Amino acid sequence: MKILTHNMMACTKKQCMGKGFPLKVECTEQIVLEQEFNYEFTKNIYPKLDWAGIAEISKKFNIPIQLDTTKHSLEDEEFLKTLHSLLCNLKVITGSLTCPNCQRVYPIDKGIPNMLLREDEIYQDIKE
Amino acid sequence: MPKYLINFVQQYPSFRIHELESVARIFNIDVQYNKDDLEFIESLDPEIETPFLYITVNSEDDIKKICSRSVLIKSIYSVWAESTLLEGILDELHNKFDKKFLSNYMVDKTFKIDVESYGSKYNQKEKLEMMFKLKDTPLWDNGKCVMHPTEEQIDKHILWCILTDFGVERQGLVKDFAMLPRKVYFGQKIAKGNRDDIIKYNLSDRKYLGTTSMDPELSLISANMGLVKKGHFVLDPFVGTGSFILVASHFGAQTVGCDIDIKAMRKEEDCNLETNFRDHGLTSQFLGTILCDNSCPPWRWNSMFDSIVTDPPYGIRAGAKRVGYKENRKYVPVPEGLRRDHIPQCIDYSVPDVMADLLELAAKTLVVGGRLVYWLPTTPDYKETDLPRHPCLRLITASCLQILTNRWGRRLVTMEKILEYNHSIHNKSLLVQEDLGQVDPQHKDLRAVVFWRKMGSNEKSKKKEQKKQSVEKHLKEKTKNNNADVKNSNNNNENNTENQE
Repeated sequence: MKILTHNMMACTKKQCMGKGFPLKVECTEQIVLEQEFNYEFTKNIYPKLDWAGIAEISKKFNIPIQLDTTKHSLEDEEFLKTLHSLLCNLKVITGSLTCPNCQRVYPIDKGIPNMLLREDEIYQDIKE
Repeated sequence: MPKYLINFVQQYPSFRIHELESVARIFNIDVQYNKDDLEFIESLDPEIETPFLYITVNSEDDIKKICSRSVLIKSIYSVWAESTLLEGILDELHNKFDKKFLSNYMVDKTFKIDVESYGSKYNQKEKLEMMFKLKDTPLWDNGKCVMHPTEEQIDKHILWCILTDFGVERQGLVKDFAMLPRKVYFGQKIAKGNRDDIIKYNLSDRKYLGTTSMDPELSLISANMGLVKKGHFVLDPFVGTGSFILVASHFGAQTVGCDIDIKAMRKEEDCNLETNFRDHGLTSQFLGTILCDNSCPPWRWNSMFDSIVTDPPYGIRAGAKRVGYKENRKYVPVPEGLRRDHIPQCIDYSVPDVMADLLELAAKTLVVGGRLVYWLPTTPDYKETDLPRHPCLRLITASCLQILTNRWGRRLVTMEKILEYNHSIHNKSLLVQEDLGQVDPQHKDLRAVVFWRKMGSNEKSKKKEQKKQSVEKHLKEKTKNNNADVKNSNNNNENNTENQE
């Protein structure tokens, strides 16, 4: 799971709608990829990001990044490069995601987060 | 504005114009054509159908851009003369152009002549004859004939083409009756369509495959319809083995996929969806996959995807599943220690529900102007009201039909998001059937249509059963008789031995 995917995700429970993000990351294994900077994509994705999620990640992995959105500029290439490498180069292989609202833990195995709910949780959802 | 002639490939006539328009939109090219010609382009009737269409665009560069993406275009030509006979072409060249212009046109240039035909074939001798007929024109006063231009020559290399259109219904008859072509065109080939990508993503060269992997040609068409381009963010919510996101990544988009079946996405450590990306050198365009149930998607509800391109399961090759309790089962909570690796029970996910959830996902997560492209199974009873709808999405086209058998086919449906999703207005519970479409849809129970022989008892299968029974009866009697014969012969043998003694 790359950090960008994390930034787009939220808890799948119906009760957590609008509140189930940013998911808290626990990470036991990670890899850092080396990929070319993709200017078009970073520019495209920039307005869609959840900055609370970026803050969470930057704290967790100790990657310094300017979080004050008012100071950002799309012309600042240095900043975009750091953002791109944070979003696309860091990959969580094993670990877990925790919903900040309902504390449900979603495991990550071999780089694929398992967002499936158990059948009884769906049952609870319907009951509520 | 200059006029150009498109030669489309023969298959998928109903996709032709829609793909062309989408590709033109990717590059912001203004394409004009005569709307009356569409009837012939999209027709399935061999009597009138033709793969040739005239379009006008601003420049030759636009043509090259279109050809770099479109897979249903064979090539595009700038036509110098057209007639019903080869001789007519010579006359037209003489009448239309100045002699001096023709003889000066090829100065310092190299050329090659091709003969192409639709609905018939020429052998080498006939081709040469046709080429030699052109010799009368002053066009060949200058210029050098080169079969394989070197890299320096390629800018000044001109590919002349004689195109004949016999029409597909006369196939085979042409030689016997010495039939004349419907049209003969003479012109320059400007560019070839993007057919090479089909070979590049050929399924048989792909290491990791599944039963539902999509044909590369159709994947490329779907990506074109979804306006996928460099820098885009693309989702496939029913990713399977990842055919769509693979070609979307090829076009420069960053892609992410979801599926409920972990086994579809990764079978083995060194052969899975990700290794396909690695084999094509696209790892940097791939964001990853998520294991999730599409009836409760794991997304923050925000406009983020530029396109959603997908082939939803419709219960024919792959059954649609969602997490839920099977009927007649008691509620048993999963023990604490087994929760991490627990694989939840799945129940059937009916096709109308799949479609409704897909449209809701698109309405919530696409950017305004972003496209949703998906395949919908249809039968000949298809009607406009079968299509799922959503107030936030506008239908662009659903007329692209791939016919699979005479009982069913599938349509490529393209929709565009026109409105931002607002929970207080577009909430599912507030919408009525009219807003959501799918009024008694024909895709509700598709298995019954496709597997009609296996379902229910019809007369044909009854007759077969009777025949089978009678054959079995006959065989049984035969074996009985045989046994009796063997016994008789044994008796005879015994008698013989007794006599000898």
